[in-house]
Amino acid sequence: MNFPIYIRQFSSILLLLLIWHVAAILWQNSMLPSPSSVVTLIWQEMLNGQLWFHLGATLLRVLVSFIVAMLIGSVIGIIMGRSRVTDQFLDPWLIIFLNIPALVIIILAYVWFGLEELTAIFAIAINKIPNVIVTMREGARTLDEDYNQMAHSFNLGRRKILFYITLPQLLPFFAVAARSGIALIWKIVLVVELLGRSNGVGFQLHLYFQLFDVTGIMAYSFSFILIMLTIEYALLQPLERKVNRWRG
Amino acid sequence: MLEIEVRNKSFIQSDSETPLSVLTDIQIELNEGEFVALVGPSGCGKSTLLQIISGLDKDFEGAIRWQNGASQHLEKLGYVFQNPRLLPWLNLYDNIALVLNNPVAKQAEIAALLDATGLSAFTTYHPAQLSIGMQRRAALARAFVIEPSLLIMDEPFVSLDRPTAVQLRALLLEILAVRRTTVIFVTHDLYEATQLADRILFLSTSPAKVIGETPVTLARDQRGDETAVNQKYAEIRTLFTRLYP
Repeated sequence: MNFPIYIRQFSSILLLLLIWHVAAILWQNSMLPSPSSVVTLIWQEMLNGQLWFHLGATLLRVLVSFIVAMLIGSVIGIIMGRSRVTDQFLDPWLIIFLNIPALVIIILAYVWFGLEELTAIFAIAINKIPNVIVTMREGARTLDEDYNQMAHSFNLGRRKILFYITLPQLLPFFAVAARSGIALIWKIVLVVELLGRSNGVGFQLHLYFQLFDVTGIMAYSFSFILIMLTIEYALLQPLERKVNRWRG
Repeated sequence: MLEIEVRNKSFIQSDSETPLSVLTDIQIELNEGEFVALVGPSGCGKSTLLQIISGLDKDFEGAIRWQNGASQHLEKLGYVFQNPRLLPWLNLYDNIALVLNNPVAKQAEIAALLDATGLSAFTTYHPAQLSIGMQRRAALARAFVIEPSLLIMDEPFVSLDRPTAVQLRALLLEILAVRRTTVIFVTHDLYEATQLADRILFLSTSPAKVIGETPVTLARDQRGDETAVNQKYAEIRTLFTRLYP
């Protein structure tokens, strides 16, 4: 039923590739490699295993820091949404952390805690946590008192209230935080790798940048973008639809 | 069976030092199996009174005394709210099963109530897919499924179109004929109170207290009969206009 939309989107991508291809032929410069040479390099790197190694390292960092950020951010956000005092106390911190540039956090983390894997994860998570807090706080604030009263008058008990009343109301907010979270984290993770890791897509980009090898830069960026888009379309969006299924 | 005594219930107002009193000198005794309607002007504190009775609001002067000891009531309390308050993320069946401690053992009871409320064909629907009349029927089924020792109803048929309200009142009488339940029912519709209740209590404007009381001497089988109800309604109506000039 969405067939025509798919076709339109697909042909739009094809058009982009075509424009790129024509421009590369016209310009004839190593600074703009043709799509086919980028694909060839991706293929080579896949065969020799380099691509998988670096993609794997980056994805692992994305995954771990994502989980850490969602966990810590949700807990703090829900507490701030439910307790006015905590909210008033922590709100200035939140605003400060929301406004510190990602780069500053990464640099300071490396300077203070060393060029370690743990520091990298921590720096990525710190960048994401404030956004999760803001979203989850909003969710916790809008918990419906009516449902709570219903639960208490029927004497439902803590476990049922948590799983059937509270969490279902927070789930849509969690889904929003997760999606925007992945989008933010996978951009920051590259910076973290570029500045202080010896593997990962960010590290490879740095390497190719020093060699002024645009084909390499493009090969690694596109592979990574492709993977993140797959996660977005094949995992996160269906998940969000499932979560929101009951909304008529 | 239940004695309700609220000497005073007041709310602290944010912009003033003196608390606003909403309920005073309320003394109501409920008998087993009795259907009592509370009638009063809107905003008089009826919903607050229900929340006190149900134990949701514990901040008041007075006491709620149950015949079988004070704490027992919480397990067996059915509540039908103004809005159905079904959980939109659960389907109809799960909404009803949710309030039971062991829904598997009560499958027959759930099915019987779904049948009585005409919802058997809609068990997998989510509340958003149901009409408001069906949602309220589901809320009725949910309240009855726990076999409550007290059923609290807070204007459950308000803001419905007339045919739906008539239908739901008939349904409530039908269910009650099979499952005798003590009911406390808040409404501002005197006709509704006449048709349903064994006894009507009249509440004053805020701060609310009981200013009148009348039994409704209608037999169960007369309550579906419009002429009989209308006749009774006219009688009670005279009392009503005297109480609220």
